[in-house]
Amino acid sequence: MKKILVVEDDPVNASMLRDYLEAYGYTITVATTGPTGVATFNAELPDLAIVDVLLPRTNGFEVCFEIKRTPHGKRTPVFLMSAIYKDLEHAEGYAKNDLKAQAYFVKPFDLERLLSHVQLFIGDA
Amino acid sequence: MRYPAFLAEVALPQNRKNLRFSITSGYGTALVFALLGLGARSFGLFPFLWPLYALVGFKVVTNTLSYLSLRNEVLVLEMASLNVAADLLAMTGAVYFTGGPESPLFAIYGIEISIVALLTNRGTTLLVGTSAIALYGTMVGLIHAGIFPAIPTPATRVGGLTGGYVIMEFLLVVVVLGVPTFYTAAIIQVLREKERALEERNRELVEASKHKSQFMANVTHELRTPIHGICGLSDLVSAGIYGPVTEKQRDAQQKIKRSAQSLLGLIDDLLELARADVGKTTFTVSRIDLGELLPSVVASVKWMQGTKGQQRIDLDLEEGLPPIFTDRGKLTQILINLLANAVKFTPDGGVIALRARASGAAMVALRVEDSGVGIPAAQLGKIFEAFHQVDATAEREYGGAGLGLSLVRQLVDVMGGDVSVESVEGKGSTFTVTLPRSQREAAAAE
Repeated sequence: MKKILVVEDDPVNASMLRDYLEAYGYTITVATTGPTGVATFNAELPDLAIVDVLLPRTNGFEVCFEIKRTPHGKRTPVFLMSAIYKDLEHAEGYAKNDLKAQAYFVKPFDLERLLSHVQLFIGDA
Repeated sequence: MRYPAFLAEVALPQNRKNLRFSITSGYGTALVFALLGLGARSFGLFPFLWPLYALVGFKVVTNTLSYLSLRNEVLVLEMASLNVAADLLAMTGAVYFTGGPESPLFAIYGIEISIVALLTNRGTTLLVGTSAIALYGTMVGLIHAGIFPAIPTPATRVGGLTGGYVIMEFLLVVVVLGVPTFYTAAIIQVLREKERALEERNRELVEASKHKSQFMANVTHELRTPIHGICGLSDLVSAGIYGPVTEKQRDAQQKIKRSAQSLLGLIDDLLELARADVGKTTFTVSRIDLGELLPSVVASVKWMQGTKGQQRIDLDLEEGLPPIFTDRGKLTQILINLLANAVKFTPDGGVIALRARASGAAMVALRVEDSGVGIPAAQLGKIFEAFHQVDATAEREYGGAGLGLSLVRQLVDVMGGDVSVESVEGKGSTFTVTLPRSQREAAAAE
């Protein structure tokens, strides 16, 4: 059973991702703030993390940075997603090149695209 | 009677302050010259008494007339003109009585002209300057013709550089140089303060536009997040993740999703418009192969066709069109907006065409043709205005906020190009966007 951590503060989006990915057999854990996201990652050691950028307290870039510093995090793919419109190219470049995130999704995105990325990086559940 | 604009401007309400200032200082100047005259008389430099009284008295009278006209708001400009004329006449008189062309007082014209220059405008200053020259010339001419008797200068009168002459000459220089210097300094001080206030205001405006742009970014985030929820959940429902769905339910879900997406398009348009407004639009030049970009643009507007299953979008690309160098995002947005418009206003079964052609050596023309409802000739000039839709009635058939075309024009402007429209009502419309092939050509066209 593959575990996925979703760090997302918007409850509708969080439950949507949970329902969608659970339907494909993955186990989902949801964290709603930056610090709890990092703590949950370290406690659960998931196979993949999907992190929203605009989070309460610490933002998704910082969460990604924290995760990527840990030994488990180095081996784990991280997807960032955001509804931020401004400086899109810059944000995506930063996420992928500097933070070593594996993907950057701009909301709204097609869930099928997310699923194909999930399957590409961690395979089927 | 109509006065020339530069004179009429002097008497405008916002310039009354300057007129009042000139009247107050007029009394001061009259007093100073009366004292100078009396001083000169006591040193034997100026033996005439009645011309001194006459010159100072004349100035005081016209100055008072000017003051009264200003207080009672009658004949303001006429009395102000009379006052200046009296100044020049009194000055010419003083110059005449101190030796005419050889008078050491000649420089007092400078006081009048510099004050007029500082308080009014170029036209008035030229008029006053010319009048001074004319008066002085007349005086010299009349002396030359023997009509006015020649009067010796004060220095000749007392036989050279006496102590009294030196003192009076010194005082005169103090007045002649001091008064314009004081005025200039005072006016420059006022201008500096105004400039500082303007800079302050400018800073506030820049700050406000930064806030606006930040606000827009926040608003978009807040709006995109729920739209993501709507699109995702309707996908989940139609994918059967929440249980079996009927064909009708699936269809309704797709409509929900499409509506949410068009809402998103509207938000993006609004935001782009706001960014273009505050000049925040960023420009990233890249190499664009139209043969690769145009099909992807056409593919991305397919979903907008919705139920118009028989509507065709043709792509017609000129052979051997070289790549262009411009902002990819903006070009895409322009084409999507034009195509979306064509899709919206063309009935099912109609034909839309996207054509790309070279236009001269430096430009490329992109043309979106449709066989839609067309635009009435009277409306053609207005369609690029924000929030303008041809049919503005409440029961209008086509939705939309009327932002798309106004955004197209703003973007085309930023890219150094041009957009035009031709249309026959009921037959269809053709939008033509002409863009420079590279930004160097855009810069050259500026």
